[in-house]
Amino acid sequence: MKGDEVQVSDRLIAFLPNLRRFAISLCRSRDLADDLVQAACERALASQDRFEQGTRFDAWMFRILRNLWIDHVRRAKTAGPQQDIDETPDIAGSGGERDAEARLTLKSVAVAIDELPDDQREVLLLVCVEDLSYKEAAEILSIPIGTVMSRLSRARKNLADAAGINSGTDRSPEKGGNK
Amino acid sequence: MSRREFDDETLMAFADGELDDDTTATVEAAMETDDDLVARVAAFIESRALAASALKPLIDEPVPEALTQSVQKMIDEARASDPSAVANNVVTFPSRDMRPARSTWAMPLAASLAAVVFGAGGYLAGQAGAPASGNLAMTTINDAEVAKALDSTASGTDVALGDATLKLVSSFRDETGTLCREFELHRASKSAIVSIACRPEQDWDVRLAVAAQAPGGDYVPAGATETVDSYLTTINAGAPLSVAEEKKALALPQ
Repeated sequence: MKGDEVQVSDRLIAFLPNLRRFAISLCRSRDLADDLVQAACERALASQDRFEQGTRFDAWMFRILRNLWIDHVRRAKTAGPQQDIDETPDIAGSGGERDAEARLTLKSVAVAIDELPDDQREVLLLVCVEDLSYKEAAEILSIPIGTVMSRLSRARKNLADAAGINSGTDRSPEKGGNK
Repeated sequence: MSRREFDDETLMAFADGELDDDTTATVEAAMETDDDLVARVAAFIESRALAASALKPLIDEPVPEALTQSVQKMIDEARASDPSAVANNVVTFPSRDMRPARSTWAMPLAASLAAVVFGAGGYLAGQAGAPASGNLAMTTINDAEVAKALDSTASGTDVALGDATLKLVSSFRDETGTLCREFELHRASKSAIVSIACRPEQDWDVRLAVAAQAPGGDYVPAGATETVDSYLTTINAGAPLSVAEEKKALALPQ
């Protein structure tokens, strides 16, 4: 029944904050992120027939946005890690109630996330921030689950190192392997 | 060495609740006697929490008004051109339910509407002997028989007009409350016409006419009906009138 279906257009506005968060952390620039979100919405509306009812809308949108981002990076090869370094501390947000020390830690975490290689950062975002499963992240990124896991574990070890978390004796050969 | 080694990915999957039951049990058992293992698992739990607390607050950041408006505009435009949106507003009559499932269709179709209206308006006007006026905007139906049928015939009924058949499809009101009717004109040797005419006062004005491609055929191809649906959306057509409503609406205001 067509009437039971939830249309893509009905869900987009409510999903904008999530989409924007993903875009900001993906491209590390709010201006760029807003352009990206807009382009993703346009793409989603144009291809809403291809959204399968019953599947996860968030995963579908993330995938569209991420693909647009990849296209963008491909086209403007300089638009990678150098972009908008000045903006990165903003990503930690500005919770006025947090004490200075906590803010410092969060800021350094945000910077550490920011400095992750793109492929590690995006999988970290999908799993740890957007709470998608490994399988869902793998589908969005079009990579095997094993690759999701290896990138994610490296991303988190890099993050833990940056935040000074003691992770016990390291048995991974890639300790600090920020590559 | 009795202790089993676990690689980082296994411990991370354990921390994330992504491990299968058997491996989960094995890791749990090993953690009971291995503090180092506990620390490694804890580090993965903590790194997840760190990433979440650093980035999750971004969701509370207000979405720029310009972005919301821009997306809302796109949504409105998409709805205006989405035939399925019409389906929600216009309950179709039985004859229209036989159509194939609607699919997305090319926008250029809409761009060609003005020309089609001109052509068909010329036909309808010309049938009564009056030359086509060349006025693109609107054409009054001068044919007394067609006008009479529109005035008095219930939807779902066919009317024979010489060698042509007029099929009354539905009645509805546009956004201004004007009574409109959708109808099809089937002609023996020419292509059928799907049309919408409205009666702002006493006369019927052709608002839209689309020539269907199959001459003499008894059905109208989906392409033409999709164009009609698109037009119905643009004028915010209301739901089709019920039989009783239609009867009441058709009675000319005296």
